[in-house]
Amino acid sequence: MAEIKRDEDGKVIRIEEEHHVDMARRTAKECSVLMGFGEVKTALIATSVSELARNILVHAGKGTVVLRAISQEENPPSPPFGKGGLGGFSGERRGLEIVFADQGPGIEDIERVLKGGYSTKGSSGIGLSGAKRMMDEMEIESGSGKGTTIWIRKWL
Amino acid sequence: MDKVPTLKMGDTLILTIQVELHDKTAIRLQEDILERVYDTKPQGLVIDVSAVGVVDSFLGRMLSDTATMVRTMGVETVLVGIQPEIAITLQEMGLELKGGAFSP
Ligand SMILES: Nc1ncnc2c1ncn2[C@@H]1O[C@H](COP(=O)(O)OP(=O)(O)OP(=O)(O)O)[C@@H](O)[C@H]1O
Ligand SMILES: [Mg+2]
Repeated sequence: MAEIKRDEDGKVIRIEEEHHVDMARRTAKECSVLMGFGEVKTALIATSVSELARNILVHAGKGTVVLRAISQEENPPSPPFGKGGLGGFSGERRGLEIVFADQGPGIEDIERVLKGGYSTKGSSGIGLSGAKRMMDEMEIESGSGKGTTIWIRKWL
Repeated sequence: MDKVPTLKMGDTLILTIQVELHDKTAIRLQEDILERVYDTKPQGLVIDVSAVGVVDSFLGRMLSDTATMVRTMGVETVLVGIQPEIAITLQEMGLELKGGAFSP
């Protein structure tokens, strides 16, 4: 897969209080609409952001959410049919990436959490696994005492 | 937010959620609904969510819980106006709204 290019200026939202979760959800919706995502994808993105931003607040106390436009070359052309050459088609797909980062306790068993239905707070444990289903891509970097960083992406 | 805007039509209590619900507002709303149901003793409760843009697990749970509590008070809830993208989101998330019935 070609490398993902990230727009330089992203929108940063600090998550420290309840209403910051609302703000993250609202901002995600705005970015999504602005980028040209349809109603369904916008709802999927906004809901995922709502879940993961609330997870920061509930499980880690505080953290940040960064929203950024991204692009990626599709089917990188190979010579001699590369750029400008025969069949020199090089498409680029655009998308939205949102990164959730915190210095909280971390997630001990990521596999288990991704299966869904598991919560350390006696809740339904649907947020993280649900966000993974709602988005096109999700990557998690976490571990006991290492904090948590989660990347989610949706392509236009 | 002030008290929830409700409308009693015949035996039915109608509640329209007009704003994008914030987490705190959602909890207040739940208490308000229960009080209103107790005060007005309707045959049924209709919650119109057509203006709601996002139903995440938190709000979904709140709506389900409300419907279940209202049922405990002897009143059935019907959720109306669920937008297509919300139905899709709930399905993708694997979140089932329990405790009430639905109507378009
Ligand atoms: N940012 C985080 N830091 C530490 N642990 C986390 C974080 N996010 C999720 N977790 C862990 O993963 C579990 C599952 O998260 P998930 O969002 O799926 O469920 P939940 O938040 O417990 O419940 P809900 O269904 O209400 O979202 C949590 O219970 C928690 O143990
Ligand atoms: Mg959660």
